[in-house]
Amino acid sequence: MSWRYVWASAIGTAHRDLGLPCQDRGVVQIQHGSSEPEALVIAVADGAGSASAADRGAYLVTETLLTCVQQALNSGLRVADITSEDARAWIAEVVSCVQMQANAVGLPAREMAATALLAIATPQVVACIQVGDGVQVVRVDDRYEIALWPQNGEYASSTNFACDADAITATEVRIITGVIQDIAVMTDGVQALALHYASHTAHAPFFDALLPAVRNAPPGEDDSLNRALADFLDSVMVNDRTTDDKTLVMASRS
Amino acid sequence: MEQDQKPFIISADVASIFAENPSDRVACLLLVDTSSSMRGEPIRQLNEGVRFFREDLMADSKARISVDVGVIGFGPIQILQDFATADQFTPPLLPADGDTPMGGAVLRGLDMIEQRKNAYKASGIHYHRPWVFLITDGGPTDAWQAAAIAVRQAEEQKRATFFAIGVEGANFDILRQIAVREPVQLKGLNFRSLFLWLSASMKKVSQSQVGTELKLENPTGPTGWATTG
Repeated sequence: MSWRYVWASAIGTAHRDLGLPCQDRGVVQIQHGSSEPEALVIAVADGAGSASAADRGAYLVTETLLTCVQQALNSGLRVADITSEDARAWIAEVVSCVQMQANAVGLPAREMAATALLAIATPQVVACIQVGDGVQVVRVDDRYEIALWPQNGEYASSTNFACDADAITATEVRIITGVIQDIAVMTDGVQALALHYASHTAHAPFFDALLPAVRNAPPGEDDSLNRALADFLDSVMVNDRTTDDKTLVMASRS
Repeated sequence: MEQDQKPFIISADVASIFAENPSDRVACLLLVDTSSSMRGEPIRQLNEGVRFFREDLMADSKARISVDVGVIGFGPIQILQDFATADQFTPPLLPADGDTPMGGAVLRGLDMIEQRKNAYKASGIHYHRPWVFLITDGGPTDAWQAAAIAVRQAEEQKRATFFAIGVEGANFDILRQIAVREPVQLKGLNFRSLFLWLSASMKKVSQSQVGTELKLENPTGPTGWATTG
């Protein structure tokens, strides 16, 4: 059975009111490697609200991650063998890319600050890599597993961004093996709807409500499903609960 | 897929698909001079100001459940209101009696803030950097040097943001040694404008998002409620 996936971003009401663009980005690709015939790759980034070119930063982060993974798969990397060193090398590449681009337009790199979330999956294993907040939830062997908890400083309005050397030490990696059924990757605008903070668990009703549409979709990607997800993310019910930009990517094999 | 199928539209009665998490909090601690020198119009205006503060927070749907207000009075030192959000906070009647143990009140306040943070952590509540507001019309009658060191450390470690406001007659030389930020002087007894500013600032903090820098209105501007002390 092959992957079905859906992805969408919706601007937050606070961003719309301030005349800011949507500074989130999410992308899904099926990539082929020399030793890994097929891998699902999800890249998500959330540009910092305070950064003037945050949307550009989020674009650079996701594009660079996709390129790094494709190159590694071309050189024979298998998902099960991904190490922290691989992850840190990719984040280092992202940081240098962001710094170069910022330099080119005369901005400090922090003006392109964005988080970096990356999931690489096969039917038997998923590698999750993360700098910053947002969350990746994996349905494996019929249970929801939080791959990595959102990175926050002591205060609610602080997190890590993939724009400086600190990002490399902040890089977290989690390899989950088992029967990989579904993967959801989201920015912090969606995370409070999907996680239960006090118990540190995934809120199953959220995923149980959204994943069936993905599971029942035709293989690959479906434009109308992407539009439906964008509508959902911009619905009153969601906007009543968050004013931030929202990105949600979901993929399913079951 | 057919055009009219809306796979992600969920009717309002199943809104329980969303996790219920407590609102992010910002603790705002008022350290208020309730010594005998505040008797009469000053304490009356201060009481009015605190009531107005609560009303203004209540008018904002986010702030009313996010801003945790605590009140410590000094003269003697007592917790007049433990931290509570505006919807659960009844403004205490501030007395005006006794001397001015400001140093002890500051230490008590910083301790109260750390305890509150521990309670947030234990409940998985996200929070912003707490604010402490010291309001006085006099000078400390107790040893205040330890408090000055504690405030400096709290600021350096980003544990809290500390502001000192003097009413006319306050000892600004000592306020300057306690607070890292330049203390400001309230124009007359314009507590109402002070608390309106504080409420507006708290609303901004409670709505701030990751990586967003806060820009507060300068209270010593031409239309502000204060002058430089």
